Amino acid sequence: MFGNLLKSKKPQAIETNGLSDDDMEPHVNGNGVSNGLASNASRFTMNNGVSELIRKPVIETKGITKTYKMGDEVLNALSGVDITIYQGDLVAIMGPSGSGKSTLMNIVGCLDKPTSGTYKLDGVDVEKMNDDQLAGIRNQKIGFVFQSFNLLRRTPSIENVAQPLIYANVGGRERSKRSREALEMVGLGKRLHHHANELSGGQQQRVAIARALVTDPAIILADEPTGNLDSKTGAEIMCLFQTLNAQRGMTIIFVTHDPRIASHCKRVIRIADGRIIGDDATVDFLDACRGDTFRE
Amino acid sequence: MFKENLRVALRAIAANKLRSVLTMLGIIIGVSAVISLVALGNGVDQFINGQFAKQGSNLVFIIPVRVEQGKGANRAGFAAGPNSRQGQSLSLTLNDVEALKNKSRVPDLAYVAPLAQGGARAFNGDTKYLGSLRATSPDYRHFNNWGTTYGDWFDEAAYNSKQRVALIGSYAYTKLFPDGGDPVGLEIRLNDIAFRVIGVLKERSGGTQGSEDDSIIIPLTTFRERMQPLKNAKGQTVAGFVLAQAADQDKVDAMVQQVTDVLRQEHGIQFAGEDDFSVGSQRDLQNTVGAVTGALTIFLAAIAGISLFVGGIGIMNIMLVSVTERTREIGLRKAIGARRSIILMQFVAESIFLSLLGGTIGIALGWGMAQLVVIFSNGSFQALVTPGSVALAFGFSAFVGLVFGVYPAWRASQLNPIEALRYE
Repeated sequence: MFGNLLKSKKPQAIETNGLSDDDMEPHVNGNGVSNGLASNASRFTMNNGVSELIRKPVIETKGITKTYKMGDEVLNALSGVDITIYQGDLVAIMGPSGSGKSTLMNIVGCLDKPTSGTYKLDGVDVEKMNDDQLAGIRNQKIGFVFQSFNLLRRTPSIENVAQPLIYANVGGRERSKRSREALEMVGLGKRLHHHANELSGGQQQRVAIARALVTDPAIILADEPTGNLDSKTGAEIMCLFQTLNAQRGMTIIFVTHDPRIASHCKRVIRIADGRIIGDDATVDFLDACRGDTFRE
Repeated sequence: MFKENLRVALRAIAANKLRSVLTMLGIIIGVSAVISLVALGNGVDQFINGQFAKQGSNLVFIIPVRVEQGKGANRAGFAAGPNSRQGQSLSLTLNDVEALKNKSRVPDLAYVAPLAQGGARAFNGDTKYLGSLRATSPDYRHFNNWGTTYGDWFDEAAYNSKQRVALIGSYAYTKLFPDGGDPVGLEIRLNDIAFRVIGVLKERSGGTQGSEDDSIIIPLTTFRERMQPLKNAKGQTVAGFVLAQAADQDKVDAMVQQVTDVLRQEHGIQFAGEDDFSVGSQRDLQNTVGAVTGALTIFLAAIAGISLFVGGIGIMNIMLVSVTERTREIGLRKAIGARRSIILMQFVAESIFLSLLGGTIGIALGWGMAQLVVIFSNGSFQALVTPGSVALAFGFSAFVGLVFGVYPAWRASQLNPIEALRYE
């Protein structure tokens, strides 16, 4: 399945000038990302054993189970999941439908609570928290990106991006400053006041990514972020994610069944029947910004 | 957060303009009904009070009352003979009026006058006029100083000698003498009896007995002699009813007591006997009318309140639809960190804003409708949109928005974010 992955070229750092040379528009370019954050490019290192020891874990789950009762039947969606995801990871959680990956994503995203097991997010035990506390955690530590963007229609992009800051009680001026920065970071600095429904799919997803970034969260959780996009736009979005990971050290977790997404990640966790069946560092991964695309 | 809620609410309302207007319609109708009906009720109240004020609230009416046979006080009651009218009490006579004039017996009384009323079929030559006839004594002029434009009132001598003289009300004058001019000394025929005009009364609209300007006034003695001869069993001339005015507003109650005592003595009513008359002050009447109009206002307000309630149900209905429609939005807001209370407040704010907007439109509309009624009534009474009724309508619509918004908002706040995000 990943045969040609092995044949591809050596892993390499994303070059910022490669981004600005890119003809795709709108795009991450020199404005926000490359200049100020170039020094972070050194964080782009592979998940080898040595670096894992010194890197800080942002997600640690131990023995997570989730059972649903459907009438008399008990469904084990997750049966003992242990995963550790480190700061700066670019990781895909892959599995076919019914594998439990959505359940895992909901638990990792603090949208749901495990039946048993422990979950530490960015040093905080969250498995016992109540709904309102979880809302606070989601607000501060998690940035969500959804397949269907989930923007507020008839609302300017800057206000869409500002939403999480409103719930974090950030003042109006600070809010618009940070929202503008986030939009500039995703290459939409010129579309601050466009309504979400006036933007293309790719642009909408960029607004959604800006919204996920704006609170400076510990992780970005992206659920099939390219699922509603054509492959070219999808590659642009993956390039953006890779750049954010490389230059800002963002921890990004994809939940997907799409091998193309996985091929753009540094690490792939495979799940089936509620269990982890594989957790591998990708030896050769594809640089979406260079136009490397996975072909079946 | 409040500002943000307001902005979200505004955006949601603007996104569905037609639906928002239809939703608000119930509140608009309810509030405009409350405002206009209360305004008109207040206007009517003020109008009536104004009429009473013209008459003076130190006025007292003494009305004959029919007392059941065998209950004691019918001695002076029913006249026997051909002049007796079935069911009419004849208990008040001119002798009673004379007795009430006695300052030592009724010290707080200023003026007293008998009054009998009937229809007037008047002719000035061939000019015909149908109005009301009032038969009274010269003292009637003292009630509110009813002056004349031509001539003068009949005096005691004319009254006592039962002269056929008539005073004409200002409206009756324009009908009987369309060419104007001084009619004093001219002859008119009242119910086929010739009368000499001795004066024309000043205009004086209103009054509790209806407009007095259409009436023709003649001496009661003449009326009882020639038009409607009524005597009681003792042979005393029947007065009809009696008007009395207290010397002072504060003396009204004292005077009522004095009048009652004197009339009971005059009528020979025993200690336990029932009065064959009724003394009612203007104030009593005013209170009664006030109670009636007040009850009417409350009744109308209650009906309007029901329409507000129905409007509230409309708001709840639409808010429930809105919550269902915006399930994904709610899911998203929860995912990015909105606590339950924030979602609850957002939807309650939307509902309150919607109903307040409806309330404001309703207040404007109600005020307009009240003004329209005023215009159509040719300004004969005012509609009073009081700050109190505006505040009440505003507060009530906010309350309706709150009450009927809470349940949909609560439903929204309880949505599971995972299911809400997946909702199609």
